[in-house]
Amino acid sequence: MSWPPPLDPLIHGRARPATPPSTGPTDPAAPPAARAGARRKPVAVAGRVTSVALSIAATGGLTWSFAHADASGGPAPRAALPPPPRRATTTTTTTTAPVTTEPAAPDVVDSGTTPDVAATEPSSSTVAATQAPPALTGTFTGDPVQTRYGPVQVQVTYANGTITKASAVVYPTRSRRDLAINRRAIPILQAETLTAQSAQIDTVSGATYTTYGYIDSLQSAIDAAHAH
Amino acid sequence: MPAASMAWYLSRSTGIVAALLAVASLVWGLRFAARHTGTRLRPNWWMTMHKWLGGMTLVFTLLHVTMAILDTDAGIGVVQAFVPHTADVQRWAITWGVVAMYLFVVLVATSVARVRRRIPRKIWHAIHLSSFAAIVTLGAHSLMMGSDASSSWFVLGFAVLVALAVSPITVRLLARGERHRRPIRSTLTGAPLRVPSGVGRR
Repeated sequence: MSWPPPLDPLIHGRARPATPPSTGPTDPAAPPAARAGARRKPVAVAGRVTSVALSIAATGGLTWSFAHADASGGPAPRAALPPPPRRATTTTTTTTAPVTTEPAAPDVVDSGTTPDVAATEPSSSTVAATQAPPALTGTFTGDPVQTRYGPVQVQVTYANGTITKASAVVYPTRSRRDLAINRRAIPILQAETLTAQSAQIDTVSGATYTTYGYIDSLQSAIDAAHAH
Repeated sequence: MPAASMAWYLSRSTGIVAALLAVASLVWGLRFAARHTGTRLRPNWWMTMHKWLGGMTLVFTLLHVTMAILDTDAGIGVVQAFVPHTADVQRWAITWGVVAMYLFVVLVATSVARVRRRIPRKIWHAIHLSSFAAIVTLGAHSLMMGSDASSSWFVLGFAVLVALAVSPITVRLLARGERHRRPIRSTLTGAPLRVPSGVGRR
């Protein structure tokens, strides 16, 4: 860096510019800037145009790469979901005997972060039904439903024909955003399930895809429960 | 492709580009203030680019906010986007983003020539120093909220941006000390030049 440094343009801007001695607006020999009066020559035009072009290109490129990564499965492969347990396996010994419901498929991923809402009975993978046939008791796992952001799978627990527990054993956790959205939405969906006692529940704002997946999987779990 | 997904992609990309522009504006401004602009380009080129990049930062920040609101899956509404600490999800992460946005608005608004002329220089300079706070809150927002914050390329890029932001700060501080030690002298006589009080001092 040379010393003394060049004049600071801020300081320079404060100084009153020297009046051109002989050139005026009507002087044909005057430079174009003087003829134009106070209009100054634009500075850094190429730099400004380049920065705009680079910014737009970067935005487009990033958007395309995000969409491409999402379409191709993203960092967390959607195919990681295990083969879907079509329905909860049930074994009925006799028509009047207690109905024993087998636990849900052991390879179903349970993230363990889903809070259980209003579970009135202790959680158990195997629930023995000891009541008359109409009273439905057991744990049933719905189909995994693929959503745009990953699979959703719901497990419901019946006790005497009432849904006492509904939990999402699988839900999208690919990114922080997924976690944030679903940790807020799933407890709401669980509470709605216990209130409605069916899959006729409202959509949670901000978690539309998770809600649709949850409802579909919940409906399949309920169908499985009523199928036997 | 659902509109919400496109809004999410655009929200992420405009946020990243806004962060890049903010750091670029900071670098240009610091190099100009440190008079570390080299000889190939005139100082007013650096100042013009500093202002231009700052304005573009604000434009892309507003685009980022708009896309976040349009992303219906994000759970961010108009209130959450403009009122700090009102979000249900990732409250602090969004709060830092809102604070950074307001800081950028103030920085750009007070840098407009008409507004700047009405503000005393010391007050304007104090306001302009909040650009450091804006960059820090922007970094906190991107690390805490960013959908890509866990990816390796994002962490690498973040480290590069921090290095880019820190290096001109060092140059600026060094230049400040040097300027205070060495008075400006006439190139003809070598005598110290008299600089009006308050001019050129930060």
